[in-house]
Amino acid sequence: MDYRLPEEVRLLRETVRGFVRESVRPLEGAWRPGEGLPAEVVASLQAARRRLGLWGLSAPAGHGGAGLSWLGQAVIQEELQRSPLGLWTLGVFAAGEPPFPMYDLQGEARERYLLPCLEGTRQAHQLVAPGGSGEGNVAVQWGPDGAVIDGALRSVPRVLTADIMLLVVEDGPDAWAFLCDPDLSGYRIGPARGTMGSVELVDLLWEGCRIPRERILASAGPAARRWRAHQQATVLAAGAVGAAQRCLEDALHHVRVRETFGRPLADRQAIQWMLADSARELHAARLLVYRAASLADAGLDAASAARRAKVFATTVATRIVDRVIQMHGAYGYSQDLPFERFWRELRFYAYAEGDNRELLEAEADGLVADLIG
Amino acid sequence: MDTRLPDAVREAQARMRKFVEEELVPLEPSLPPFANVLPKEDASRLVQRMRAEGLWALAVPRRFGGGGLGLVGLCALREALGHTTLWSLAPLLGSEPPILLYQANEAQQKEFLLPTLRGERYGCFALTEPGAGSDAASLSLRAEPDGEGHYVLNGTKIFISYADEADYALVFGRVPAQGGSPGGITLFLVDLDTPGVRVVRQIPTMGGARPSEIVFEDCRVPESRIVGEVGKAFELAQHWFDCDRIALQPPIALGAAARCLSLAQRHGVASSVDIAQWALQLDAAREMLYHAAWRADQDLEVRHEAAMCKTLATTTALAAIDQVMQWFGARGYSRELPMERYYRDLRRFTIAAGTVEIQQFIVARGLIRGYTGLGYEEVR
Repeated sequence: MDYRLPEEVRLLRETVRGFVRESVRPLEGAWRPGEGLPAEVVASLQAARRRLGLWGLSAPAGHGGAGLSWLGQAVIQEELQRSPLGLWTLGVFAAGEPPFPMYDLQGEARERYLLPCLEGTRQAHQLVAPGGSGEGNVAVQWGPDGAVIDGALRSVPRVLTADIMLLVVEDGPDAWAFLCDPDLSGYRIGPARGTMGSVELVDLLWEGCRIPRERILASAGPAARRWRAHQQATVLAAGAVGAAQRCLEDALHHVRVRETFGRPLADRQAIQWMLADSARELHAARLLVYRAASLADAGLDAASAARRAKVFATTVATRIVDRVIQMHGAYGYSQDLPFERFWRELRFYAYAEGDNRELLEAEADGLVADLIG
Repeated sequence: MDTRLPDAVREAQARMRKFVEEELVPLEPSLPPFANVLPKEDASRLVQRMRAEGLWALAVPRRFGGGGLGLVGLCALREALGHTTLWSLAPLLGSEPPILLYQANEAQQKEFLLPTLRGERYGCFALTEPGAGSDAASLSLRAEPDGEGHYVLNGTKIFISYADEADYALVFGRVPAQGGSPGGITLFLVDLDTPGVRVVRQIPTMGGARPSEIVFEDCRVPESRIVGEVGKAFELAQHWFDCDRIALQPPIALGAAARCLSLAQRHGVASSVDIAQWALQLDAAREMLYHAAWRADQDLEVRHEAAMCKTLATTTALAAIDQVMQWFGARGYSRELPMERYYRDLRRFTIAAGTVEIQQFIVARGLIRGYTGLGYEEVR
């Protein structure tokens, strides 16, 4: 048993914290409400990432990656998502981080998909669907030179720049993964629908869509599940913790200086309770993130711990940011301050990589069994 | 980083669970609804079995002949103990003496700690007064030196748990400033048969607990019974308060709530999502519990962590038990199921040993004054 952060992770945290403070936060003002992130801001952030080596963080060693631990990646995401520009929904920091199954690509498909994704010129998003026919399912028929797939997935979130969908179709315990490039015939991406945050929702349709063998990955189940756990724990849950931490730090500053009726807000018990509730929830969320990451780093199955961390952290993060809005009064609600934006973006984390209620449902037996011992 | 419990702790916890399932749970229906002691014949059999199976004093440091499993181990054992509504019955508690006694001097340890570990003596903790509960530092029990090597205690202590079972007490008293000495709050070890000490009444509560009122009238205590130094009791006891906030109530609360939730699951009285919502809160509280206990075992500051842990575990468990009671309808309210007993006993957890409001205050004050940060390991 040892809850200390390893020295190299602590150093990494300092580096990324400095980067966010000096290079990311000054750009926050360039992102105007109701607009996308300007291209020059994205370019500047990507260049800074490369300079600092914050690129290919999830790539296994041997694929140009640093072989960084999940704990290290979680801590980096905590720091990055302290800025709204670092939030997962914007996708800036998802460039250069292709989903795990793609590392199994060979030959031409590797050149055409994996390498550009590692390079950051293209971006892939993993999508999991059950096999079979009917709404929400994807039917696969095998032919001599590949597969023909039919199906429709509605309201799929599209993160800013992802143009490749890695469609993982589950078939019992295993899965097949299909690289869906917009160039495929019979594959249609419906019109984008806006949301309260940065993600857009699209309908994806496959009608007799022929996918050549080299764009299909067999036995993709384990890698796809690991990627999902990785995204849940080290990106969404860790990011939610970082975002909530930033907002709470701002609130802590605000309540010390803002006075009402001749005394600082910090003297008011109503305010103190909000601070204490938030600090407690944040602490618990962070511990669940670190548990999931450290289990994965020990070579154990972290799927369950990742789901729990994701549900807990994303739930408490919006609650904490909501309290921070309350503590700032009308300013907190305004677009002069970043909290309303954090709230709108983080709200989507409850759906991303598995709806929180579905994840809870999946965890019910395991949670009670663990508590019972 | 490794957040898993050590194998030795897991193994001890499993043995404790087995003991609880085999010995204590079967006794539950036969005891009256407000029982707070086990029948004598059961008590001695249970203590014997605990000793025989190596469950006695497992968390006590090795230098005192214990199992050395630390606060993490104590939490794990108590979490297992929480699986019975009989968790609070007195004989079982002798196996883990007040941690504060580890800081007593050698003579005091010989007289109080070691006999307690052997199961021959039993101590209670006397801090609260009629006029000093949450604000414990305002206590007024006077302890005046008589100039002949004794202190004379006058005052009243109230809501002192297990005073009826105990034969000595750890008493906090105020020594007046005198001559060059500033005095201050001081900790005394007092035999409860000392002339001038009277346990005047037991206070019935909604649970099994029957805390006592103790009156001190010209009670003479030799100065050799002062633990630590005059005026330094809170400095000495602060870490112990924090450790108690971690190890006394939260693990029992978690074990109890886990049992109730698993009953709800087995009887299918709630949807799996509803059960999982509660279980996830408890899972988080449990993670917080072992993190705080681990820090205490590393001699790291745990003020903030203990406060958060106590609040989360006790409030969540109590709310979860209440929810399970509701799911079960009238049966949940009945004495056929354990929820009502748990609820009545655990209701005091958000009050005793520092109310949750005090815990909230500790956390908020720490943040506002900058004693503590929000981040991991910056929490000091």
